[in-house]
Amino acid sequence: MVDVIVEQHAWEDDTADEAVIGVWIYQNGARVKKGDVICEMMIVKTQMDIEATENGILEIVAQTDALVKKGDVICRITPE
Amino acid sequence: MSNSRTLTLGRAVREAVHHEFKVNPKVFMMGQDIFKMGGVFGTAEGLGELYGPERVIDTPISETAIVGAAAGAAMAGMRPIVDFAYVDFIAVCFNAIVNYAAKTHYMSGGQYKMPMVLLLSTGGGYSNGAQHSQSLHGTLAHFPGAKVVCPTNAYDAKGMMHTALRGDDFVIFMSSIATVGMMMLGTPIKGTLSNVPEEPYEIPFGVARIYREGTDITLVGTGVNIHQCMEVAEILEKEGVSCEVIDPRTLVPLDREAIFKSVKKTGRLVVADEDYHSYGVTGEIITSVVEIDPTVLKSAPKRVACADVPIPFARPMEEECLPSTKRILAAAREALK
Amino acid sequence: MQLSKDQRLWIYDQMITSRYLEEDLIQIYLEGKQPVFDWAAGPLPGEMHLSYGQEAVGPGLAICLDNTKDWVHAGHRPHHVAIAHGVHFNEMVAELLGKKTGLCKGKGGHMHLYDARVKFAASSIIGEQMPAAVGMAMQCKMEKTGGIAVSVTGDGGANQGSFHEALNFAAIQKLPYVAVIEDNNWAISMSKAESTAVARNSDRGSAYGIPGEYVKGNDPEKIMVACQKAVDRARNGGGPSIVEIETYRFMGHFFPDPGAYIPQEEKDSWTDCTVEYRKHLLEQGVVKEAELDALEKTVKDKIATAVKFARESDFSPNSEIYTQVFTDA
Repeated sequence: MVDVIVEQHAWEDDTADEAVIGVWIYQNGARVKKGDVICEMMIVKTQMDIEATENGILEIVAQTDALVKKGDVICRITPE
Repeated sequence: MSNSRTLTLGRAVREAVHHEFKVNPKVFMMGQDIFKMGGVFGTAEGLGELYGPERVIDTPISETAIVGAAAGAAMAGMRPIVDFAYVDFIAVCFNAIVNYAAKTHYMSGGQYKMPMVLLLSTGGGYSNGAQHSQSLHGTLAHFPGAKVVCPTNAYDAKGMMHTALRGDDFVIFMSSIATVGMMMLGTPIKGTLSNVPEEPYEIPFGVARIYREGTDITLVGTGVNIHQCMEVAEILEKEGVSCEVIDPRTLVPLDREAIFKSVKKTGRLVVADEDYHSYGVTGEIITSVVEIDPTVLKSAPKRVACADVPIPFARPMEEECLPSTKRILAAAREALK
Repeated sequence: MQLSKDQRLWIYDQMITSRYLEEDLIQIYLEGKQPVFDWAAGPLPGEMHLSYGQEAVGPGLAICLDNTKDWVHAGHRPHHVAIAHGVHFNEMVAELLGKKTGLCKGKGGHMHLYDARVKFAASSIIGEQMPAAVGMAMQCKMEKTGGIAVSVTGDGGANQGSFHEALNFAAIQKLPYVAVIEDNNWAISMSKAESTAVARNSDRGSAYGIPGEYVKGNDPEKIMVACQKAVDRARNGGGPSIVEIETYRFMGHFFPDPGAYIPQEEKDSWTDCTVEYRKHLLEQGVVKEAELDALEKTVKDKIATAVKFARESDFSPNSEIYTQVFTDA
């Protein structure tokens, strides 16, 4: 199981330390492929696509509308 | 567990555009800030890297030339998408849209087709002022020769963009900014999110979507206002009132039959549209019912639209001008008396 | 470009076809409109913007083009341009009379002439032809057809915003486009000196980093030389240019505008390109008088045939009104 954490994606705006989860494109238990855009997140005014880092089964940790900080786990992917 | 994908309206539109770009070399896009930036509303995101500046063309601030050239290219057999950003700017190149693009197929006796999509972003509610907050559905629907489509959710948006890009007509594709899910206006409205199939599909124009079936009152809404109508329906349900909520999806052609059928059933009508109150969509929809048979109505029909004023900047003032769940609810209560 | 005898006769043919047609059109136009003038009355209703006097521009431009791949977009004074570019003649005349056998089934009329078979369009909002032709040039470039696009606009239209936007965009994109400006010195009653801050629109090319050439004298062969340069440049990837052509509008803005606002000295200075070219052909020994007489008779017969065809054709049925708003209805 691989944690997908917010820090792995570049924070363009260093003054911001919080982001909000906008949309989960795939749901809990979905099979995702590496590179699939799985979530849309917003840091300040920039929308950011979060991609799956592996092939596997998705487990959502931070729900839609949740605020997340750098280093927070937003989801987990269990490789198959 | 399902692998269904939940997309925002904006992402769904992009998916359709990407697909048509891939399968049809005649499709190209032109507009301001699309190649490097993906468009101010993200409509061209990812296209530039894949297709280069020859097919994703950044243009100067020259609306008349952009729309006129797209029309000429369409007459010559290409399938341009004009990424136009704010609908308010149609005033700058009004001739190119309503006199040239909309009329050429007809004036030429059918010799020239106009397979062009004009992609417009509409709506206010975020203090962008009178010249950057309009909806103008009525203005564009008024001129014969353009199909005017305004999907309100991701599933409809993708299908309708495929239909637009595969058809041979001039299509004005209007997206309410509040429904696109760009996150410039906070997180996406839940009602705009849909399960969207990966493969392409088409949605015919001229067919309304019944968002919610009901028996006591018909609420018709466009853009973000359909989602407000759905909130009203939830509220009224708790009071024992059953609302039928209809999204026309396309203004030209307009599914007048579906709306009439609904009002014949319920006897009460509220129409919510963010364009101006007078001489617009709300009046058109009400008249479409009344001119068939006014006796279907048990009470006076209501329109909830933008006040007939240039939209003011200050948030409290703007909020009062634009349709809202509160205003639609008040109108519904009036109609239910 | 050395012209053969046949080419020169072709040039003369195009000019007199337009001229003789318009002489007939004047008569037809007045039918039903006398003694009380009513735009709506008679077999040829609406406004009528005659090319009378400007005929040289038609063949001067068209001889440089190939209507199987080159687009021409004219404006509200299109007859001479349409004829020379190869628009189907009988159908054009039928369209002027609004008949179902017309190019556009009677839906376009004099100011909205289209013939997709020869890549011709003409529409009536001044200046809108320029961006549209730029778009046609985009198609030529994108699909590598080897074709180019030409717009024909007047000295009045050169002050429209669309002139600026179209040329700027075409220049940046280096499109295969030629902007022809017919300078008849008058935009309805406004002279060029009153409307335009510079003496020549061809000089405005420098605002876009593109060449502009001014052609004096209303001579089809001089027009041809200038157009050929611009066409070649466009076709060879050199981008757009402006060709501004001095010409003379004999019949006012629309018929029967007497052009009372035009000073008599100016009217006296005009030359008739059909007369001058005829003289030129004879003086150069290109043709004999008898050949020209024969050609003129042929053209007159062609026009009589077209006019008869147009008059005898029916109007489209009114059900046609509701078709072609869209392609699927």
